[in-house]
Amino acid sequence: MTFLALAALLVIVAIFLINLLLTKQAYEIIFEKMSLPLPPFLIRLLQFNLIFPLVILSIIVIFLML
Amino acid sequence: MENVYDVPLFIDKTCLLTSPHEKILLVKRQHWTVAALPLLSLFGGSIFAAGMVYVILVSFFGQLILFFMGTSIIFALFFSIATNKLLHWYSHIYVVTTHKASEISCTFRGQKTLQEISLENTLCSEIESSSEGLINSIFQTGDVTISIDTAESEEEIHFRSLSSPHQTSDMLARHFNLIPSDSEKNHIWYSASEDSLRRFLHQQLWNISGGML
Repeated sequence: MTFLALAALLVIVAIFLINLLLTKQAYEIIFEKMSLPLPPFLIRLLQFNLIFPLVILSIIVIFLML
Repeated sequence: MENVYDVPLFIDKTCLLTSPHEKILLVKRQHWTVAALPLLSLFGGSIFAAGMVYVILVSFFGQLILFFMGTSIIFALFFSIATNKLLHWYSHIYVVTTHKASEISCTFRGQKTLQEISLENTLCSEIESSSEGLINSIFQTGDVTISIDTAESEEEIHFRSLSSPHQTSDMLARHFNLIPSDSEKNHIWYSASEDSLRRFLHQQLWNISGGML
């Protein structure tokens, strides 16, 4: 069970890093280079994408510590 | 001349316009159904995967905490892929200027022009719009194809899944002084000079042959 939780931890870290790259791409390339204004729903989605894995990450860490 | 700006035009003009006399005629992206339909199937797949995780972890092993972790990961993945698809759809634009027609998209490595054809010094032009299939007829979407014959080669650019394709092709045809073909069904517009030349030659042949052709 601990092994599965550790695997989940790795996966969620990978998802977080990919989302970080995606957000960087959205802001740098689409917003700054292409000068396309990002609509509010995409900004919210990008923010949610960064927060959601962090919440899961903290839950998994708390579970592992217990 | 009217312009069709589907995309809010805060686009950096320096990356779209190459000469000082060039003007933007059309900036459009694909219809929202292009992004929405894969997302719906992805959401269905996520629900199915969560159900499978429930069956395996809760029904067989009784691990409720692991089920919550697994489901969270599945939905984190879903949101990540969905955002990627939405960003790709949002940054994929079709641009027609007075000098060129191009398809621009953005990838992880940066902005990329997928295809570009020059509309200058062309011998014959054709603009065709088509709308086929159930989804296209429901949402009134379709493709617009611009064909160009230059002295060296023949080039084509396809604008796929645009909203109101017939109006778009009409607008472009009016700008490039094209005339509609005899068949209204196909929504094809030809270069006026080429068409009149063809009719003239046909008339001459008819006169020479005495109506035998």
